[in-house]
Amino acid sequence: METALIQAIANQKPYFVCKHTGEELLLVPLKGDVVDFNQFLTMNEVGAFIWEAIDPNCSFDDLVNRVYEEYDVEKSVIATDIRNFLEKLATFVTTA
Amino acid sequence: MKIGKEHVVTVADFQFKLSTAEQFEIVLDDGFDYYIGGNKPEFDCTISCHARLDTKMIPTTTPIYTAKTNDAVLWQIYSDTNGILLTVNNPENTAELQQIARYNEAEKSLVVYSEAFEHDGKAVIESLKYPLLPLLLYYIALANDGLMIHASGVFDGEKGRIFSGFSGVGKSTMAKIWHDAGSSIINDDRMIIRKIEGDFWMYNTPMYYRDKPKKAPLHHVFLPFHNKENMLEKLTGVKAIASLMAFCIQHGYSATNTQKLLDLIGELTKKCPVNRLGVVPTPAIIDFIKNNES
Repeated sequence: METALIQAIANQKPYFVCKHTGEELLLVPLKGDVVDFNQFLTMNEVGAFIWEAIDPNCSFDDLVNRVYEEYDVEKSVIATDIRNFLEKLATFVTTA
Repeated sequence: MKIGKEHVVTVADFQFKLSTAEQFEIVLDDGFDYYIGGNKPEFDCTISCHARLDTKMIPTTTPIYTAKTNDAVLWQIYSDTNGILLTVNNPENTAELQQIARYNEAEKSLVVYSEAFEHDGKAVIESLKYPLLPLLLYYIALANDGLMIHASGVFDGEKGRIFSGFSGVGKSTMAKIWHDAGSSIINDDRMIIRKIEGDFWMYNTPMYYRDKPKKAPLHHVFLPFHNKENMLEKLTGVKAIASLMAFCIQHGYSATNTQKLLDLIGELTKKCPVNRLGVVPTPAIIDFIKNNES
């Protein structure tokens, strides 16, 4: 399931423009005349890190390991959090 | 109305030259009256006006962008190696093609095709008939550290403030309240904001009514909404950028342009504080803002 989520997100990445401000990231979909505020997604530092790390070739384990190396939190906790994050992110990028 | 073979028009300190080599003359409606003229040595866009409207000019490819309401196409954009091609429908009868225009950003040129008609016994073309000018301004602004935004703007002699939002949030009401208190209204609906030498300036643009070109420095951005009491909430970071972005005029097909817009809004929100503003529409809002803006 995680692989499908990663693929879905990776496929949609070209249709979003990003803006980093401090440690936050704003995702803006490339569509619409005047975009509804609800079509934007803001991410914190960790969310932004995962977004940047996602590409069509990365696996779920890759993501977990990269976040583990960066943030030094228990892998089981990271895996659960990333899984939840990917579900929400995939829903957003495929419906925005 | 102004009629002639050639016009120089200056909007938001952008200078345009309209001309035609054909037997027709170019007509500009009353909204342009005070915008005619200019003294810059170079033009930000030269506009070549023609009196042909041949649908064969429209590419058979799929447009890269379509602006539409629920049941009507307002205008469409096509892209090729020569730039972009716009097809614009008459906003009062969207089944009728009004202009075909080719814009080349690198050459700073716009070629406009529209049907000729008779005015005071002369054959004329109205090449910049609404909404083509705002469409052109969108591109010109973005190419020059500028943006177009749904906002009213006022200047009290010291500070410039804009009130941005969609229809119904009270943009015009706020402008009137400030005007009644002695401020000048730059515009109450659609504005251009430009970054010039690190500072931000707001400008009006030609409307359907006659109004003089106006500009003022911009210091504060407010996003008003109706509320039971006046309140102010400062927005920062991506929340400020996202909130303001939502009210900017944007054609979301281009990653390059969207990135430009995002970066410019990022700079704007750093320089000019952005606040959500709950409004009770009485003159008391003025002192409330002055006492609470930061």
